[in-house]
Amino acid sequence: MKLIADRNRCEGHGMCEALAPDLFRVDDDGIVTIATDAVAEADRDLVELAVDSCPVQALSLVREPA
Amino acid sequence: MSLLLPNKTTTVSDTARHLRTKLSWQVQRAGVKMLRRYHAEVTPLAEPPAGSGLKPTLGDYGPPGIGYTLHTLADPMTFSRERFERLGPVSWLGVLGRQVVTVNGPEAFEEVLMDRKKVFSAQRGWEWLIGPFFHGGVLLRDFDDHMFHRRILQQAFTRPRLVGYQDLTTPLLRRGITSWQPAPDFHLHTAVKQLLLHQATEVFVGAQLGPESVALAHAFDDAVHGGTAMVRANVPGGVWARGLRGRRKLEEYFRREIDAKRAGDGADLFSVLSKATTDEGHTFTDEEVVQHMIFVMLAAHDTSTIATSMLCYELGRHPRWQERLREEARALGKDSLGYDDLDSMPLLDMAFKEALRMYAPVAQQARETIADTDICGHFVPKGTLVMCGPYMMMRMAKCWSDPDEFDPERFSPERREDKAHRFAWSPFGGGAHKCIGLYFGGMTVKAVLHQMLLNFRWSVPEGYEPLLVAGTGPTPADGLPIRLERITR
Repeated sequence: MKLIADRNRCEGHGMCEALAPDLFRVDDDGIVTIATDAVAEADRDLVELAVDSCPVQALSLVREPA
Repeated sequence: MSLLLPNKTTTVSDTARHLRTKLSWQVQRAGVKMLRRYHAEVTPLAEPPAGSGLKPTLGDYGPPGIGYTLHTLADPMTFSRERFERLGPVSWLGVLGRQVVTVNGPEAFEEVLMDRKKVFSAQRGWEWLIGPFFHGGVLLRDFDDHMFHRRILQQAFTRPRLVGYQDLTTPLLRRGITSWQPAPDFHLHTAVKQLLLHQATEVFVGAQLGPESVALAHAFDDAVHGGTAMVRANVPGGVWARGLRGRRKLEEYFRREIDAKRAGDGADLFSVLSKATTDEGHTFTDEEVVQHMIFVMLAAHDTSTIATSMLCYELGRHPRWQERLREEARALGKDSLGYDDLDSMPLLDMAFKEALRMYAPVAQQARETIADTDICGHFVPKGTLVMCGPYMMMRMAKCWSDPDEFDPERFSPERREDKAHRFAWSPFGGGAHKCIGLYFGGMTVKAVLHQMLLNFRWSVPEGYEPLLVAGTGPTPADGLPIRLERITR
């Protein structure tokens, strides 16, 4: 699975960062940066929760082409 | 059950509460005047370890016993500005019988709230202030235990859940607000408090309004006020004792209802929390559901009430802004604000942010150090209570032009003064404990404003300033009278 952060949609609410500070960071510009777009299997549930928790749908998970 | 008070009871008890608050505020001011002559030597809180290169944290306890307790209650803004100018961003003082480190400025905030060294305990900080009334709430938990709970709690704050709460909220806000009776001295804060208690009843608890309400509304109010007690002991009839009794009543209610909630299919927060399950299969026990419910209600209620009231106050003082927002509201062309409409209201969003900047509904964040550490290079020993005040910080001239002026344009794309630092604008805190309900709170305040803008026009008398006392944040103690007129669309 690949994690995508839409920096145009992001409003910097930081719900993802509060849940998983190692994976998401809201910078001084108020926009999210992700540590990596490759989601480790162990982090998958947490990343899915972060995606569902973004109030403005700035995060998404896509299946990588085989 | 309902948390809404019948009109008549509210009027009587609110008048009494306003008087009591005004009186205690006057006593505080008089106390501060008496103590003004007190002058103390500034000393280090503790000597930094030799060779650490750290600076001491300077300050003074203040008058023996009481310290600066009255100063921080009566006029926190002036007091904290004076301390900041004299002692810098990290200093200490005596409050409620303890030595407390206060920090100011976005850099110090980031260090404490992001807590990269894991030394600032929210549990120990808040437990001391409000523990007996809000024990077990998500803010009264730390580190791994906190994260475990937050991840379950987060299930109740995902986007689909928020949309569900919005659907429950919208009709009740519209009904409530359109039934307001215009008056030259309409007590806005009182009305908003009641409206949002109605929201708490239906959207959080999932219950209908009914006659059982008075006792539970008071139980909730008493629990909230328990933490502000000056006499912090279980003295019969005291604020603390009333708070404990309030907590007990709330616990009894939620315990009694939980089985029915688990069995039902409600979209209310109580139903959702009682069934919340992570992908790993973790759920809350009955006791934990009760603890989170009581805390979430505290966190949501007074804060949204303060934000709404103070935004309306500023719009009452700034008719031009009120008109701009009304034009934006009319341009949307909808009776109610839906979840997806929030993006189309940039002016309302700027005004909302500005109200939070000026009147942070959570005026203080409490932490306690669990090891020797430092904040911005100032040594802070283990076991120290650390208070970060966003209310004061967001009024610093360093980050904001004319910080005491209502100027929503400072958040416009051209200016974005909040970008000075990632913690410059942080009414919702930050780090692991960042407010889980921040978007829900924003939705609520904006939905109230949308209805008010479409149905009413309001103003406040020239020069009127509400009497602000310390609650969770600066709280108008006079009910916030406004001149409210109905408008035709």
